[in-house]
Amino acid sequence: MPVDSRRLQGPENANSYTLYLPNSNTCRGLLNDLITNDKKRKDGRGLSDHRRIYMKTGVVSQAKGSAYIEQNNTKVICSVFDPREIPRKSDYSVNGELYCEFKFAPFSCIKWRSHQPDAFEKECSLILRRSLEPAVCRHEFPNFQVDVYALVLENDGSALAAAITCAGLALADASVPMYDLVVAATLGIHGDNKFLDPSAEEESLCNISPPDGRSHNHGIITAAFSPAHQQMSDFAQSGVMDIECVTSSIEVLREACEIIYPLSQQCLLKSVTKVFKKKQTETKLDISSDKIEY
Amino acid sequence: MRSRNNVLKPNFRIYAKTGILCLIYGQHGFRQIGYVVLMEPFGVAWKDHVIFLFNSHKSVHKRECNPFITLLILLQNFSSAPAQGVRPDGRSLQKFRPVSINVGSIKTAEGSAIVKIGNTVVVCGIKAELAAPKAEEPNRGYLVPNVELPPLCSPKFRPGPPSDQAQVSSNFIAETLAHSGCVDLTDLCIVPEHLAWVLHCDLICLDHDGSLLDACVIALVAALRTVKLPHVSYDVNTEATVVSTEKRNKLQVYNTPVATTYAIFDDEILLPDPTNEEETLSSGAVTVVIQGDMLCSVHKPGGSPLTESQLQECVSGALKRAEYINKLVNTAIKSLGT
Amino acid sequence: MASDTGGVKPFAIQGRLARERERLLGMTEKERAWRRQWLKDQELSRNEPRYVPEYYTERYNPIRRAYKMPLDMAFKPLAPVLGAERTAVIRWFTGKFLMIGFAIYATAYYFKYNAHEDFRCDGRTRLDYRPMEVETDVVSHASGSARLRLANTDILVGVKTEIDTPYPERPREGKIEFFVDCSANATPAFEGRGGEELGTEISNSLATSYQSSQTFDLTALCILPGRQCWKLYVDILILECGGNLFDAVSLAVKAALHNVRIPKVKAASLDGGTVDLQLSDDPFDCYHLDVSAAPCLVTLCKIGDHCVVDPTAEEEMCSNASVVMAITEKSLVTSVFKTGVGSFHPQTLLDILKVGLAIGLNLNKALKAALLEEREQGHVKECCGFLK
Repeated sequence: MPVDSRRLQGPENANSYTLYLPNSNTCRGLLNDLITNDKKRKDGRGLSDHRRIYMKTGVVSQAKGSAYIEQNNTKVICSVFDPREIPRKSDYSVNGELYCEFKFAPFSCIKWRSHQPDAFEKECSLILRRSLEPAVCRHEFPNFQVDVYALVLENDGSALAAAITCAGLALADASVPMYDLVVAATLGIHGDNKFLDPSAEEESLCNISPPDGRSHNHGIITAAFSPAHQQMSDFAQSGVMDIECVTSSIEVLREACEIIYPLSQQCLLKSVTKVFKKKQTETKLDISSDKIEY
Repeated sequence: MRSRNNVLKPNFRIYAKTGILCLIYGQHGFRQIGYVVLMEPFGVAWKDHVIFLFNSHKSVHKRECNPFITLLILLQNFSSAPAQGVRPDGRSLQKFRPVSINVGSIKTAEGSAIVKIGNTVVVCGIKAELAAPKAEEPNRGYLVPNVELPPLCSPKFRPGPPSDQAQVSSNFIAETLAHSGCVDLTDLCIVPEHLAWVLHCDLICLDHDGSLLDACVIALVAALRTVKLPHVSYDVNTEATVVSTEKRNKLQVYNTPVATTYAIFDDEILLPDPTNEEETLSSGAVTVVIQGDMLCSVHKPGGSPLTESQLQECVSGALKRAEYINKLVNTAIKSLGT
Repeated sequence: MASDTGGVKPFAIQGRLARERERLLGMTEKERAWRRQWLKDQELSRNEPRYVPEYYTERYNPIRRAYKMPLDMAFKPLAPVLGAERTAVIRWFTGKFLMIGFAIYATAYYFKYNAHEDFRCDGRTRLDYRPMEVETDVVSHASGSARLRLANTDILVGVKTEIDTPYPERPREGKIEFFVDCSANATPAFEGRGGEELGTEISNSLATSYQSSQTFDLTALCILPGRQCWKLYVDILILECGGNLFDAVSLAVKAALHNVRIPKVKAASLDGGTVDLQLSDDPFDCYHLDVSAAPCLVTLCKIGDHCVVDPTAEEEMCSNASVVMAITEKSLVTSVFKTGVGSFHPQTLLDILKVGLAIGLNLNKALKAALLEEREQGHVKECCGFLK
């Protein structure tokens, strides 16, 4: 890693204190820890329940459009800016471009993250772009690019899906022409268990191979979906699983997205009515009190 | 300015003072009004097209007519401006924007705070790591503050390495931390020469609407005051480290510095707590850091000069604000219930 | 061929008078009368030539008569107007023109509407791969290397081994890192920074598909838990780009990892904080890695209503979305992702995944067979390199 001279640097060989925690739970123990006997998770929801979602648009005053999403402890903020010319490009492009950046705040994960984007963040940026591109009418702004920045303030699992949903809202808030909103959901798979909207602990469990059991499946699937046209704009899977597991997950994820979609719509509706009301009161004021001297 | 001729024709008036030239022309009342061209006083060529909407009463309306045109009023430059003494966001000249503080909301960080000053939002998260102390300072830990101005917070910033402003801010925060002595670095040492805490204090601006340094300092101090470090036992002979998260110690914060930024207009007017628009139009800025009831440091990166009395004015204003902010931070931390 | 005359050669009834020189030599009266008669016979009478139906039936078989009939019928009324000879000529040309026109139309129709009939520009069906060549051990200074050529796509992979300290959170595992270099020579699109993004995309996809311990056992790279491990640098060089980079790169990487030789560690001793390693002196005393569970990537490119595998560069340009999936020998899926700007209906995605799985299994099998064959050849293997 090259030395970053533009930031203040800490010592080189610093380690997270979580490495020295005494417990070294086995995989099975961890699984028992996360799921109770009656198939309930640690926070009380069932395996196929989504966490409660809070969404808000118009959170960044300087941006053209912005949104904030909270799924329990997972917090993501996203902002979208005005189209600008594509830098370092000389030839004409018929379709506009999306520039997406996905970033974890240094303090958002269990381990401290460097300021420079690592491979995982770059991959997430790519997935973010892939999932948004099909939903945006890019022919409306040829030769221009729209910047989309997502920042994870706290990662308690499913951060990428939250960022995609949030970015979809922010794009709509920025009045970028779109075919449909984009919503996303994450599914964690470990053995026979399928965790919808996994928390950070469940995600780390899904990243390790289950002990000798009937099924070796484990991994994480994130899917972005546009319900109006029934289009899956992205499908990203990692880990190891058989094809039946992948195919059955598609339906689970689609259903989860169908549940999130009306929430996004309501959030947008709320922001629109708010703007509309504000406009009305402003107009009233204008007529009554504003006079300009020439 | 490109515009249709019939719009340009009817009326215009020149307000001119201290080099700022404004033309107003409009048609049929309020709605059509408002292309004002603002020229930078110091020969910088044309600034952005700026619209001024103002009226005989004290209210000012901000309206976006075009994405590339922002709207604001700069009252002090109009001798005959009717709405004298009111700033674009409706507050009076010497007033600060409302401040809200939220602490401990980020669970993954050892300490965290979110500070809002008007629209400006800064998040501070503090992560602790373990490392061996420096050989030349064997009984001191590390405190690594960094101010991040991601492109998310304002269209001024582009992705890539940190901007100049971010670097200047980081250095300012680091100096403020070091000079005010609000954290004793020897407290962060666990076993001299072997193990010490590294506190990464990352300040991320989520919305840049002026007075960034004020928000950063408040957020940093509030976050530091919520830091709780797990207990660590270290065996010097076997180099075995054991961390227990059940027992946590609070970090001692000795001082609570508070920064207050003033924007300077026309070498004479001082506007406290400027917004982003005011900052870009101002001819300079000064940041005063107060600690308790004492002056800690004054940060004035160039710009128009200040007289002694003006500086005095700033310091006394900042003193009053520091008291208020400290009260606010105290309540926020109490509400955390510790 | 049977002769019309039964083998009898015709002879001129003009006799010797056919030649002018003979005539000039002088003719007898009898000959003169004969000649006169002959000349007179050459002129057609007013009602000649005669149409003899029996002659016509004799000359043309029933099939030819049937297909000649429509035009003949059409031209019959024209004959008195245009004259017999002219009508015959027009009749002849019309028939030929109709035939040529029909042939052209049929060809055009075939190519226009039969394009989707599981038949691609280069003659493959939708699920066919282009010819592939793989050769391992092509770079002598690398621990393992492979070169793969898939039609025009040319990939060179070199694996370098180094000793490193393992990650503190995974002390029993070695490390593997992928780096893709898109040479500017490969395709004009890679000039400048163009290849960089694609490079990260490919290396990320490889890292994801090799992530699980079930696909590639990183513990085999461990030397001393928590202290020392092997780190594999997999450097991928794209020499020429003819489409379908993901598949080609993954196959080449698997072949190169199969070829990797890691020197055996004879002894390791812990002296204070530092580790002392003794490597075997014999360069052939080394072990191979087990890559049987490593995945191959299969790109399924959606064009129109169908998906094709192994797309050429042109086909990639035509499609707006493709699915890349990583499949191991045991028919496990280790990574799925979408590339391109389009999107899929969930049902389409399901169908594509099923097709991809079958393709991936065959691909793995073919590669395994090729690698085994090459390893059996051992040191006597003929090195082709880039000469071929």
